[in-house]
Amino acid sequence: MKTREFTFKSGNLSVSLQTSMPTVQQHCELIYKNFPKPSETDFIDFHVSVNPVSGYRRWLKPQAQFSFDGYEPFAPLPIQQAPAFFEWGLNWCIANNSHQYLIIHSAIVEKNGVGILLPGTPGSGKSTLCAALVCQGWRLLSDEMALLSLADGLIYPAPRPVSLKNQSIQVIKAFSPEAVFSDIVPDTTKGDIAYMCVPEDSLQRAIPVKPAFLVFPHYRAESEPELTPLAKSRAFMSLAENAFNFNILGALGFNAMANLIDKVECYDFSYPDLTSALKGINEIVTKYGKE
Amino acid sequence: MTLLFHSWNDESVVYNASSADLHLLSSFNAELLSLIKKEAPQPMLMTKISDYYQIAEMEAKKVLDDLISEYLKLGLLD
Repeated sequence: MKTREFTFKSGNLSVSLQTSMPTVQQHCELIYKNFPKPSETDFIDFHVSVNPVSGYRRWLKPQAQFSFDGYEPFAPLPIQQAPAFFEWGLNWCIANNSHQYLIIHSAIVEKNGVGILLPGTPGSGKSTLCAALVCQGWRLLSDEMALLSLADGLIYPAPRPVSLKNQSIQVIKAFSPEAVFSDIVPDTTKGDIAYMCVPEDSLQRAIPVKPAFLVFPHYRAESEPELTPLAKSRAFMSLAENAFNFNILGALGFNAMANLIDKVECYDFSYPDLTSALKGINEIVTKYGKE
Repeated sequence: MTLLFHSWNDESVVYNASSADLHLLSSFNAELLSLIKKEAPQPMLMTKISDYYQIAEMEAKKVLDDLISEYLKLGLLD
């Protein structure tokens, strides 16, 4: 299969992917077709590739390999997981090479100038909630990594397809039948994964946002929705645990985090279903608009 | 050892730049720790403890010793 190159911009970050794999090419043609392209003078931040492993692995349990600038940071994965391997690999590249930002494991969405951080712990429902908000018209800055600038304290967009797992895939397909999805990547360590396309508006309006709210979501089936103010000190400690490069940045990371927490209202939010989650988030923003 | 402090109401976060450890302390403890790091005189520290806990200054000495032990265990003092 012929090797093709896909280049795209995700916010300020430029990516070049080279791949000879049909599944990865199809994935990119669908998911990244509307992403802006780097100009001829743009510096490419990440040169990556996803290709079949050579040798006997071409026939016996074939595998795919990810490389970044010619370096292979991971063991190969089953060939069926190649599209997801590209997405995970690129996440790793960004998280390990973008230290002009404090990188927080969090979704970040915006509406009417109001930015909301939704930090992700496993099982919190962050990505499902993020996908639903985006389907409701919220701008997606990221479903995975909030890039907090050390220079100006704004959060910079790096929109990428929203990664959904297992039951969440059907939940969002039912919630928003017009949403466009990649093929399902089955049987990964995280289960089945599918990627929801980024709306064009989020790609075209790739401007930074001043965050106003920090909301830790907790999905708890058969509970009552509950929004609880969170002490800023506790929010700081929880958010620091979710920052990929907090320790690498040292004092810079500490100060950036402290300045962020100074500016945002902090909440814990537990919810039993998507409807009440969306209602709760929209109520927070409505309250902000009145003050 | 460099410690960075940031406080909100009754609690403070303290970052040890040498160990990269992050601590959550009461704002009183953070203030006391900061004074100890600045080598504030012991009578001043004991007065602060005495006022905060509403105890006699004689008892404050023991409290100060206990707090210093805790700060040492946490790596917040050399």
